[in-house]
Amino acid sequence: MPDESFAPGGLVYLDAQQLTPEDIDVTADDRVLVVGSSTIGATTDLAVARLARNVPVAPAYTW
Amino acid sequence: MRPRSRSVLVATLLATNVAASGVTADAIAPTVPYAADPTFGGGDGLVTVDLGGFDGCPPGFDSTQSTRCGIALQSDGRILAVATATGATLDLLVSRFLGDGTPDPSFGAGGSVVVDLGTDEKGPDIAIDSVGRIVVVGQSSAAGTSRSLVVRLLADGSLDPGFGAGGAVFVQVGNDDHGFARTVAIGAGDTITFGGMTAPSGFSFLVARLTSDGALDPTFGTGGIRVDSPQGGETTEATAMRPNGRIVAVGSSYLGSDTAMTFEVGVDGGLFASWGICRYRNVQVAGATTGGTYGVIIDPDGRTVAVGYSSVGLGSGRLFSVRLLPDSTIDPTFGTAGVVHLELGGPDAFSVATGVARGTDGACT
Repeated sequence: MPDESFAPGGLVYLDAQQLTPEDIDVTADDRVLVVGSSTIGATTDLAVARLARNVPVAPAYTW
Repeated sequence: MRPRSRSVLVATLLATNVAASGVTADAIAPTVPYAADPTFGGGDGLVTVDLGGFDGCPPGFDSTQSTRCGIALQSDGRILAVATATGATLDLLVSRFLGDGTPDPSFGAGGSVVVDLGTDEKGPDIAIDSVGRIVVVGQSSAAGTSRSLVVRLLADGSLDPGFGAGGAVFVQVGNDDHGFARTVAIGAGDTITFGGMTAPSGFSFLVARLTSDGALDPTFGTGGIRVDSPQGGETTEATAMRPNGRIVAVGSSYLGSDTAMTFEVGVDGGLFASWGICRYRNVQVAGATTGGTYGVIIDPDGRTVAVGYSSVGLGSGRLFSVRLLPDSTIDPTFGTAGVVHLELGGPDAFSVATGVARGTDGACT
């Protein structure tokens, strides 16, 4: 079942910086790390994002 | 109170035509800001590495190529990432960041290392051994051949001269034109077990083990390599290691409608006998015409959680997760009959879960 302590519906989109995620890890203090590509226009860069805990915003989705 | 079990997965949401073409493009997610960690990456929760060309994860989910990026956490909180950089050829790009996302000045040049071995190199997975050496696995390809590639770096990012030939090992099975390593696990004695695909005559899964100095381990499989193909078209996409050293692997079968293919390899490279028919567990989802599995973890109770997608045609890829009990049977207490689906973005969207990790809230996160 979705983890509501992570985000409403347990779900968050990584749409900032046109991030296409590929892999994930979790830090010792329970923060989610995501690695992928950030593509803006013709430029693609390696990107690492870290999410805050208890993500405050997300649309409601149904599992 | 028993700690709850939790897994976190990451997925890519693609437009139908994009998925069909195998080319990654802009996500079509709603414009909802993700919750950036303000203590990471200068406040926006994101750090990027730009060496001037394509520096990222080679796009697509092409079964014949190694196409992903990887991430690993050091025990001191520093973050390692592996990707591909485009120079005269494709090269491995390994970057290390401090805990706040700042490039680590003690690693390579300004926090990044580019490994160019004279071929096209891609690196989809990364791990850290017991003494802090960095192991990257991937693909080396040139002139119609493709090999599994294993590279080991010292903690400062330099190639480890004590590993293989100058820090690199190439593993090729026959006249392989599609071989690659996609996933790696570090075992006792800093042995390196990697999984991927080989195609000397049809696609086959590949699991191999190297000793800590980079030699193929003669006590594993046949000369260090286990190759098999129960249906004539499989690949290993992700692996996880049990505490006893056995490897649970998941992958994809390209000839049937199976969503998930799982198998377990013993410490000697043999297939674990109790795993289903032919010692594989193929998970078929009712109504699904195709699927794939790209991530796996093992929880503290020995259960396997695999993630990927299942699809009814190209335009309906759903995130997919299945949990298996230690004997490989499907866990009926997980989701609906052991399976969780998540449909995102409407009927024309295609979603693929590409990674999974355990959290930290108790025994399994």
